[in-house]
Amino acid sequence: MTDLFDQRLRNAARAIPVPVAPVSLIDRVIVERAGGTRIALPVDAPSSQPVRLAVSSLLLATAVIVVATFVAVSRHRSTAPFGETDAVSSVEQAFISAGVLPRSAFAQIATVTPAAPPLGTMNGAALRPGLHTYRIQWIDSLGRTTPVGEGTIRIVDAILDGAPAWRVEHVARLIDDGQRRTEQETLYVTQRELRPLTRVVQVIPYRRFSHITIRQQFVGDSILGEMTTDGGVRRVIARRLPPTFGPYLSDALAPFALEGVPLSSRWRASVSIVGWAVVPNDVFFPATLEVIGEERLKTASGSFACWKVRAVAGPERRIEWVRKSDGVALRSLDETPSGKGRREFVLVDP
Amino acid sequence: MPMHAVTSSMPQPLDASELVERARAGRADALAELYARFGQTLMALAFRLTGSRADAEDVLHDVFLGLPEALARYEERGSLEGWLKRVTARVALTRVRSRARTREVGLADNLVSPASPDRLDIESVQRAIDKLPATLRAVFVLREVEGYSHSEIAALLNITSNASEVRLHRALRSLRRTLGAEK
Repeated sequence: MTDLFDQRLRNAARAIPVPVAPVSLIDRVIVERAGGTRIALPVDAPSSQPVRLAVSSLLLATAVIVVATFVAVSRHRSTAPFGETDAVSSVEQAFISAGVLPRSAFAQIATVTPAAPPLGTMNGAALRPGLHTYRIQWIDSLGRTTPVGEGTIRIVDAILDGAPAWRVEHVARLIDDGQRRTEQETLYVTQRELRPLTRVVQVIPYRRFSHITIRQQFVGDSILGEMTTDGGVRRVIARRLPPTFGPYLSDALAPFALEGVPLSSRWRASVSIVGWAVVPNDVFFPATLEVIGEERLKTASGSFACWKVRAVAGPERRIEWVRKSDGVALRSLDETPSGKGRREFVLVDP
Repeated sequence: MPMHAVTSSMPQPLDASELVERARAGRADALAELYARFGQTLMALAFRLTGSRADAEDVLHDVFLGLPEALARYEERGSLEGWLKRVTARVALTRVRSRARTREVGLADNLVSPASPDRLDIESVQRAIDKLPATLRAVFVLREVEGYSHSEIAALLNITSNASEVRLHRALRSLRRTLGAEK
C-alpha cells in the first residue's frame, strides 16, 4: 500500500510543471561575461585534485608573497584599470593585497591600454631551481639605513596536474608601521611561459586580523578562488584578467621575470602584477619597464654588469639593477623618496 | 542529388567535447548552444530544489555565468549533463541555504508540464512538497524526482548516506501525512 502510494507520489512529483528557461537569460549572461563579470561555481574537484590540494595546502605554510623587485608596482597597486565601478565597503577595503610597501591601493589609475608593448619573451627555461635570500631597508636622505624585512624565494622544479611547472615559495618577514608580519606565498607557474596556474598567499597577522589567506586559481582569462580570515569570514574571488594587460606576474616571481629576456639599450615592455582580486581595485597593476642605462653593481657577493631598468606603476618609479648575465634583478630602489626615504630591495646571495 | 552532398552542406552539430572546449574558451556561441541543449533540464532541477521561479532563474544565470571557468574542472569522464546537473544542484542548494525563500505557487502560466497522470494529484503533491523543510525537500527531490543515489546526495549536501536515507524517510512520512490529511 505504502509502496503504491510512494510510486504515485514519485510520479506526481515528476509531473509537477516547471518554468521555461527564458531565452533572454543566456543573452544577459553573454553580455555580462563580455563586460568582465565572473563568478566562481562550486564544482566537483577533479579526481586527482584532493591530494594535490592537500600538498598545496602544506606548501602554503612555506610560501610567500610580496614584493621584491617590482615593488614599485606592488606599491601602487592601483586597480583594474578601466574603471570598474563596484562599490567597495569600508570592511572590504581591508582585503587589499599586502606587500612590503604601504599600499595606496585606492588611488586608481585610469589606464585604458598598457604604455608599452607586452613583455612577450618570458622564458621559463632560463629559470633555475634554487634558494635566494633578500633584504629590504629604508635609506634616508643622509644615507642611513633602517631594516624593514628579509625573505627567501625558493624555486623548485614541480609537476602540477601532470604538467611541468615551477613552484615558487616565498617567505617574507617584515616590519610595517611597527607591526611584524610574515607573508608567505606558494605559486605555481607553467615551466615554459611562467604563466600563473595557482597560488596561495598567507599573511600573519594582517591588519586587525590574526591572518588572511588567499587561494587563487588562474583559469583562462580569469582568477577564481577565495579569501578567508578570522571568524569564518570568506570572500569568493572571481575576476577577469584582460589579455591586453598581460603577461601577468605574481610578486613572488618578480625578481626573476626577466631571466632569459634579451634586454637592450632601448628595450621597454609592460607587465601586470596580480593582486589578491578580492576587491575590484586590487585585481592587477599594470607596470611599464624600460632600460635606461647600464651600470656595474657592487655587492657583498661581487661586482656585476647590470642593466638599469625603470619600473613605473602610476606615480611610483623604481630603478632595478638587472644582471646582464642572467636577467636576475639584484637590487631595486625607489627613484623618488617618500617620507621615510627610499626603499631598497637587495638580493643578498645572487 | 546524392545524399552525401546534402548532408555535407548542412551545419553539423558540435559534439560534446568540442562544445566544452569552445565553452571553456568563453565563446558566446558555445555557451548559447549549451544553454539550448541543457537549459531547460537545469531550470527544472533548480526550480524543484528552490521552489521559486525567480530563484531558479538566478541559479541558471549564475551557472552559465561561471561555466567557462568551471569547465576547467570538468574531466569529461561522466556525462556532461550529469556534471551540469551536479553543479546546478550545488548552486541551488547554496541559494536555498543562504536566503529565506519566498515561496511561489508554481502552477502559473508559462510552465512546462511533463506528461501528467493526474492534474489534481499534482497540485496536491506540489503543495505538500512546498511545505517540507528545505533539508527534507532537497533529499526528496534529488532522490525521488532526479534519481540520485543516497551517496550522490550525501556528497552534494555534505551529509552522510545514512542521513540522506533518514531525511528521505522523514520527507515521505511528512508527505504521506499531508496528502492523507487532504484526502
